[in-house]
Amino acid sequence: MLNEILTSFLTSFLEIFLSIPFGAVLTTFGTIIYAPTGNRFGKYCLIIGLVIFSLNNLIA
Amino acid sequence: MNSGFLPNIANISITITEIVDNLSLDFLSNLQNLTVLVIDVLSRLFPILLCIAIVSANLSLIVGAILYLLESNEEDGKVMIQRSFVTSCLLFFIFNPYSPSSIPIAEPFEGFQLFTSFVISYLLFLFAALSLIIFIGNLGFFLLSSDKKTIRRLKKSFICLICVILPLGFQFPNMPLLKL
Repeated sequence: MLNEILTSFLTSFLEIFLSIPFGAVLTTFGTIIYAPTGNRFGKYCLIIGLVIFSLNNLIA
Repeated sequence: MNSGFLPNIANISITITEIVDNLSLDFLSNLQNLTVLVIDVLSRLFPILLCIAIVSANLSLIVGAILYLLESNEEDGKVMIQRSFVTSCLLFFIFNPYSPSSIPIAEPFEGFQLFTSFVISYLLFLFAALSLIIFIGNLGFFLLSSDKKTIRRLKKSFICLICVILPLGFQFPNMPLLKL
């Protein structure tokens, strides 16, 4: 039973954090922070969002 | 006493497994609902964030170009132009309707997005016209006297003009119109 719970938890976690909407929100948030101020956090948000987009395109 | 105790343990263990089963079934269904809900919220949140991102990227492009043209804050403006130009190009290439990974934008925000993109392209158009005037003026100064300083100013105004015209695309000589 614990096995099922763990696998379902992991799959839902991945479903949320590797989905296209999450990548889109991350890239837009990154641009909002990074473009005017040049913050490092915004830069990494942008890069991670782009990586999520490319992963989705690779799989599909 | 012993004979009464052992069956009790068996009963307790049976009830515990039942509880765990019920709890885990609830947990699994709740988790599925939660993931669907979170993805729905994210896809609803995205159009507003996209509008704000386009506005911030292009406004910081204009501000960076103004800072770059001014003599006092040249380095800040240069870095700001690079950042905002790269981000606006990324936004243009990823979220245009012809890209492979485009997301259908929700209905109520379509008008809002068109309006913000119109306002931004109008501001960019005004600044492009201004930088074109500055470029022509610097060209005249360069023809009059080819100093080192005038060459630098000419180069700066040319870079500024290119950076502002490229996001506008082939639309530049025409006024941007609001398409609703």
